[in-house]
Amino acid sequence: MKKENLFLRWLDHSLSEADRTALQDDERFSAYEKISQAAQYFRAPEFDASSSYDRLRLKQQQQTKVKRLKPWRIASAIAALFVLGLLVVNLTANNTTTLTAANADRLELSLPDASTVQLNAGTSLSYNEDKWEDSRQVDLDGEALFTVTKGSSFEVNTDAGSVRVLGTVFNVVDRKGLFEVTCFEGRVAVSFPDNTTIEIGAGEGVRLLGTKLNRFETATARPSWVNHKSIFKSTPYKIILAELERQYEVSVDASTIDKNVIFTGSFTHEDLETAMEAVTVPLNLKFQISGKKVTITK
Amino acid sequence: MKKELFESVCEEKIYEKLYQQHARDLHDFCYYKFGEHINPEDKVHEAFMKLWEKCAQVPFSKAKSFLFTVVNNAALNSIKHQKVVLKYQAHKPKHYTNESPEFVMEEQQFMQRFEKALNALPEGQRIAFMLNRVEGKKHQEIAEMLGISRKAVEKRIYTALDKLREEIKEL
Repeated sequence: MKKENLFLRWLDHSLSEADRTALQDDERFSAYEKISQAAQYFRAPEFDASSSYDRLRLKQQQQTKVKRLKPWRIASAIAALFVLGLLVVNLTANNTTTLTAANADRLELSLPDASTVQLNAGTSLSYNEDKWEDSRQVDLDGEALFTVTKGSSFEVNTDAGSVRVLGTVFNVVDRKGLFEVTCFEGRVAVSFPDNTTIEIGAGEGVRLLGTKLNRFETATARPSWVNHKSIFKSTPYKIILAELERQYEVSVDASTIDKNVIFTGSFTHEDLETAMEAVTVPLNLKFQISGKKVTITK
Repeated sequence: MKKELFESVCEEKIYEKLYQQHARDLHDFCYYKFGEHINPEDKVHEAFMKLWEKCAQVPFSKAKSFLFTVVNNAALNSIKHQKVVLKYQAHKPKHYTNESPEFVMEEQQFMQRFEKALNALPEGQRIAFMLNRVEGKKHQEIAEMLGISRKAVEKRIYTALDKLREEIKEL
């Protein structure tokens, strides 16, 4: 038998013992064997199919469970229907559509061109449906994450400035005393009332706090509020408290403390008590919750 | 023909049977494809979850190739540009303590060099080579897993072997 054939058989695990002796003294064969032996050290880790299958089923059950255990989905569906109703009323009156996410609520919606917007609590967005074909323009008051489909320029106008893009994902905050744009994909141009324009790319942001303008970088793929969490970096305490009021629909009384102190930290949107601890403990403050009222003291 | 009607992938018994049959191969395949950076079991689970979602559309006879295609197409954006790394396993088959220090050092050098060369192989060659040499798969089995011809598998293994031989020859 030809040597090449023997090699091929050896490699296919079908070489007989007799044929093997024919290869014994071959230099190439001994090199191959040495390689084969060395390769054993790089074997894949052990794998037990039965226990792995159990883990798979567990994952699948958890997934369906999570879907079922979300009563707020129904609530948000009702809210969406309500907004849709408003939308129809609005459409028949004039063609400006206004959508509002109330405090402690949020809203996800599609614009006529299939771009999507997620509104954070206490945010309203309006646009003119008639003019949409010619210019994609929306007015925003609050905070929203935009995922813009490619096309003609898309403009977000706020009192504090405007953002112009072609197709990308970005978050805009227009709250009292704070205007912030974070770009997650693509590029956006941010214009201010004094006609300056700043261009930022993916992973960058620009923030106007009072009159102070600065740029920053972000490593996250989406703003924190999408994951039911608010994260702040060097932000005046009053802005944090205002966000807390919007997320939990509570009123915060902090008249006895300095609300201009700079705060870096985060709070969850899911549990008021935990959130309050997160924003008070680092500053050595105390809090008290009574119903819809929260008091912060020294 | 009738048989296929009964062996629906949507049936949990059949689904589990498929897992028992193919999960290990998929796991090994993933490991040799992606290396140390990811948990291969996660990839296997992803493929099987996809199969469960599409169980009505995928006939039993096509399930195996469906699973391997899903895993093979899995592009891991985050680690795409990271080098695949296969590392020494802790359980080394044999270790002789009465060897001379020179010998031990030579062995170490050899393994380091081998590791480098192995990781430098193109993905397709490395997978075929490892499945064949370490997992003991026959050429035909590998061809089915990778969705390529048997001849192509032979060629990949040969090329891999010869590249590795060139590397270690210089020592």
